[in-house]
Amino acid sequence: MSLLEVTDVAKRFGGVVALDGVTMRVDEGEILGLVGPNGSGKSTLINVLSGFYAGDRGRVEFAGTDATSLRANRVAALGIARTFQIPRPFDTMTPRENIATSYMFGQHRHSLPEAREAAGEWLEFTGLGDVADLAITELTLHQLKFLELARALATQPSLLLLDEVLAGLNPSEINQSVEMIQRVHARGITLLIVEHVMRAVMALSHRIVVLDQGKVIVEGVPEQVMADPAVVRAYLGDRGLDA
Amino acid sequence: MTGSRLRTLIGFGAVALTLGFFPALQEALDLPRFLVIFLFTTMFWVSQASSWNILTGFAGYFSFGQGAWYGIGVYTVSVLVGKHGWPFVAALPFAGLAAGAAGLLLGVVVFRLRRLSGEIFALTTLAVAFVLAAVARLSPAIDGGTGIFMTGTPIPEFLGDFSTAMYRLTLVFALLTVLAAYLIHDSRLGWGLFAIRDDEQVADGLGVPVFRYKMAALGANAFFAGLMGGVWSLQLGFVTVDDVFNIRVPLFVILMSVLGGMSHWMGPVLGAVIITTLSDRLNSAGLADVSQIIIGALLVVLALAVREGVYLRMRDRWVTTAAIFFGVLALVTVLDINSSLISDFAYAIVATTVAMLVPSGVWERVRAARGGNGRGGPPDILAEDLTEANT
Repeated sequence: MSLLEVTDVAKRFGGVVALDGVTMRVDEGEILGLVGPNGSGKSTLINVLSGFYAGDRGRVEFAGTDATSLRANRVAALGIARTFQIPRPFDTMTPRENIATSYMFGQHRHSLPEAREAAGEWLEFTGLGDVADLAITELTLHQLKFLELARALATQPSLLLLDEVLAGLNPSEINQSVEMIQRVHARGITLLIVEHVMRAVMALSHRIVVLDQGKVIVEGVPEQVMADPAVVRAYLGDRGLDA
Repeated sequence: MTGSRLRTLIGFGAVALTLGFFPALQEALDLPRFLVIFLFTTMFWVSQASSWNILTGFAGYFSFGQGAWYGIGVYTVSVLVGKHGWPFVAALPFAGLAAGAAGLLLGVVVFRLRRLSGEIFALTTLAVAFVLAAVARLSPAIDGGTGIFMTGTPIPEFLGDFSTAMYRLTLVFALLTVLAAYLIHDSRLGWGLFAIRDDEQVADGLGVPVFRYKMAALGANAFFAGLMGGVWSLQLGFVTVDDVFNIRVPLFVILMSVLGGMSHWMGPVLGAVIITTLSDRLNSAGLADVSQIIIGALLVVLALAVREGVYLRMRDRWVTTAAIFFGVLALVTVLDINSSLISDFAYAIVATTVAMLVPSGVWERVRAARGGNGRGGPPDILAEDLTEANT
């Protein structure tokens, strides 16, 4: 059953067409990989879905509710959370306070004392217990990425949009993160992951959607998609086929 | 958590009671009458700075609009009382309501335009005060350029004589403002505002209703500023556009809050006490002109040196703070340097504040020299050298 239904969504910035009529869906309970070359519109799509940009046309439906052009905080209240490629923690707050803040808002409202209590669960889940009360400046990139994830999880989303959580991590950190994403999925959260690390996308995704120049060019199961000539062409250009 | 709230509220009650009985105490002990005036001036500024900080310190929207909200309060009461003969106390609530409504009106316009933040927001709030000043000057129904006399306004008997009435009114409204700031600081609303201050887009994405929260912060700021403005129209006596809509109120609240610290509700309270004391002493020493220079210089030092403000530093080093404060106070009293009560306190306050303005690197060294209960490990050589170069 589809949880998120995207129909003919377009977005342009001045003369640049970032999304040119994207139609796709995310099924309940799956991990969907969204891939494509740089500038193919992946981040723009995430921004439209999470309410940061209003699309120029098209329709977004989430769990049967029309979510087209809702403000970001309304989208969050419906149960869609996102992370940012470059972590953007609230930098006057500790990791614990970051998570508590997001728990208070998100999909359900909670009071401050409840949030202080609940923050511990997400800190533990992401292994940030040791740094919970440090200043943000003392965290490593790896920890900041996990905090980004923990904060999104604390909104108790039904659908989580992960924007390049693996970028900038070393191989062992990537393995750790992949395992973490699987544990998130095991909690019953549907995931849409935008990712450049192909090894991870192939390992995680049930289904893959490939974007190129603002359009969906292929979708299907990982092996099938990666063997598709159109995908090879999009990534490597025409000469890729000769190799 | 609830324990700390209880402690704060008990502390609040204690301060309220002490201040509440002060006028009676002043008469009983035959202390200088001037103390009452000094305290109500301080409470005026405590309220102004605290209300400004709800918007700027908590939500991070830098505002020069304090003069506008204060001015609306002053003029609402002056027009209702001075021109329409309303009883003073009946006019007071409208000072808060009118300013609050004006704040919300500005918010609807400014906060709906998504890209309008930062410097543009600050400039817009400044422009509001200019526009209001022009409107008041041109409109005979408000001022018309002639000013309004508030001297001789009847004050209800239960409030006491003029100074006592001013004292009681400013006390009640200052307590209300600080209580509101505290309750917001420790609530869902407050944390939502902090999130907006740190990264509004991210806050929005996590479900913080950014528009409503910013409206609440701006509305509360304007409401309390206007209420206290209404009270202050009595103190002004003769209300003129130039006296009311000038840059003095916004500049002082900024200075006070920056000095005390903008991230905590106590920061502006402390900053207001320090600055009022300092500026009062300088003025009474006939140094009114120098006082502007000193206060300006202080703002520069603060902007560069102590971002978090002195309140948090004092809280973290409360033993040192108390030692310096009471040490200097005792010294001044024993040596009988100055017979006035405020001057004794002024020396102690200045000494403590200056001690807290000393860069934290120096404090770290002092702690290390004492045997170091700070962080373990070998000293960072580079940091050590930098500190040396600074001292």
